[in-house]
Amino acid sequence: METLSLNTPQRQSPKAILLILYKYLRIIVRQLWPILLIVLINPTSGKAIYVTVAVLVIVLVSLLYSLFAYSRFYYFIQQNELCVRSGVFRKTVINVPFDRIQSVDFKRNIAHQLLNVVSVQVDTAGTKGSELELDAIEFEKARELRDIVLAYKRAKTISAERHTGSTPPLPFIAEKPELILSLSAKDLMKVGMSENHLRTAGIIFAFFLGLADDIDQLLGWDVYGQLEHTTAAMSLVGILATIIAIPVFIIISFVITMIRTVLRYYGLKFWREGQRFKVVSGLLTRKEKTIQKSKIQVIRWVTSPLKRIFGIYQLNIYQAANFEQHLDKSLAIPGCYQQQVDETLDVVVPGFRRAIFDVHRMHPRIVIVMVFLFGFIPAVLFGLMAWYNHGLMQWLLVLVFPLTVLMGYLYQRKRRFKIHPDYILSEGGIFGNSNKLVEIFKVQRVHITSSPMQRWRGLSSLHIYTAGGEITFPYLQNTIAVQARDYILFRVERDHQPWM
Amino acid sequence: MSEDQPKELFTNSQVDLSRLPRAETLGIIGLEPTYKMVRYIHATLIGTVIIFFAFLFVMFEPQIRNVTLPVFLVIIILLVWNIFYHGISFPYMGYAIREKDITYQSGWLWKSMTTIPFNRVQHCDIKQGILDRQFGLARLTIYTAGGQHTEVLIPGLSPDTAEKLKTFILHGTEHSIENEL
Repeated sequence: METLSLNTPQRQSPKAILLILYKYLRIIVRQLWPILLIVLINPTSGKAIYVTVAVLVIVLVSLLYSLFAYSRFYYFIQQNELCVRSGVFRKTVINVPFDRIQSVDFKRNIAHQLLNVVSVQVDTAGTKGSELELDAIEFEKARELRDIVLAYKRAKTISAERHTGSTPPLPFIAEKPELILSLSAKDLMKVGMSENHLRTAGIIFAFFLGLADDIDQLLGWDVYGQLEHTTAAMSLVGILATIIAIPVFIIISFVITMIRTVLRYYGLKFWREGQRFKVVSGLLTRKEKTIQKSKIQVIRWVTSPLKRIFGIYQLNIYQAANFEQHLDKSLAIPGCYQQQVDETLDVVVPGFRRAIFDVHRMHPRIVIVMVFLFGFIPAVLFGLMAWYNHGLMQWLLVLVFPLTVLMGYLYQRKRRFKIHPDYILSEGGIFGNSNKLVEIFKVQRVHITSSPMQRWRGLSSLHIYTAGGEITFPYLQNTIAVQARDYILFRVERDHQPWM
Repeated sequence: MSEDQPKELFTNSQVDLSRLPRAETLGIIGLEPTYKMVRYIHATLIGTVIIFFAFLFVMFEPQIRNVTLPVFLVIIILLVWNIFYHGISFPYMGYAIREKDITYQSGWLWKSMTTIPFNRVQHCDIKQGILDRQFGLARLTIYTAGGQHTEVLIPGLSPDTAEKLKTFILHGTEHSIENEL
């Protein structure tokens, strides 16, 4: 099966040099752009010269370093292991046995696409520091590498099955991909329009605050002072500014969300290939992610009021997460209709849609606690701030209190703990709806907590940990939480199905 | 509203829930008595560091001095309370081992109890901090798979007990793997 070409130690494609250059430039621009902007605006200031020189030195040093690193980086396959030799000052050798490889994913950003190379991400299950990333490999070689690993794993599974005698050995059939969802331009628009614009607004707001800080430090304009002055005074300018600023802000948020959506989800395709799910998406950076069906830990499908108008859901499939949290191993498939959600659920958890669940709700007392913590205390603090600053506009922030009353009420009304002998379903949502499904035998750990207030009412919180995330049910009846814990443990400890 | 809540987990139960092993009825084994001292020292050290930084902050930011006294009082009350809480909650900390899982509980006002089945343990390690070594103690950390919150830490064990627990847990893991095959 192994071909000669990958057996000898080899460097990455020479195009990697260009890519590394591109990567460094991007990092530098991203980190330093406010300073670079100042340099461009005001090139004569003394500060600007130092900054320019410093930036140039950093660019040069990192370029030399990366060239050197490239020439020292070798990868090859040896005895069913993927090996990487690298290191400029200290040599490191990493061997990853095929058995430990969970997935081989490809990623292509715009530079990769232009150069016809891919970045290969090799992921191993939860072993610290053993993830590998090959920055720039020729597409054919990457595919060959993946085929070798997959063929090895498939052969292994088949021989294991033959060993236990549970299933007759299957003849090797190339798994035909079955397209579940292909996001059309129209669907992409629907997804973009129904994304969470408030979150974007929050990001933009944080970004502008950060920018204000930079401007303040570099140019000496007191942006905060101006802002405070405007919001504090009951002047015509202040009110007008607010009235104009809000819609402008909303429009900007909307546009940015649309752009983000298109960049991330353009041309999204969601396939099933036998026992695997595969998602390819992205405009400039084309990402390809696969998840083995048996490795799925949690499935989540959510809808928001806007999404409900279009009848779409966002589907998330979580697998055993890695120690390295920045590696996002979940599949996100927005713009699914009910049919695609059902189709996926039927494949992953075949019995789920016919299952009859017992329903338990959170005690209404949770509303009081939530309103107190997230509504009352902030409202008092904002009120004090507004009173202290004589800020008329700042009094608006006190509206957080009635808002949390409404949200707490909706939360309690929708939150449900549903249990079936084989599954746990968490339902919730404030304005939208969210569902999370776990198979009980995949639970890793069960945790029960209680505060004095909860114990007084005979309540407690149940936390269920899986390898793909945590599910919490706050304010359950204590007897229910304890029974659920004992039942889950009973199932997990007697179930000998591999959870992964 | 709570009247119409079901009192049982399953209304149409396939297993008799009342006969399932209850994690609650376990004999909880307390931690080493010397660990109480470690907790006191720890809380005091943290308190001292916080007071020190608060003090530094006031030194360099003179304009907030008019609110310094009440703020300092509140901080000191909280820190003293924290030291006491570390002592009061000590007797509530402990672990219990069953045939197939380990349970760790802690907390006096805010109680928590966590259970890990042996067949979900990824690995265990034993650590000794500087204070631990002075008092002849060790900490056992048990890891399960996943991204966040994957470990449970049992402090205040004698190194001997920690080692025994580790062997037992890992043996339990192997045992369940054998059963799987």
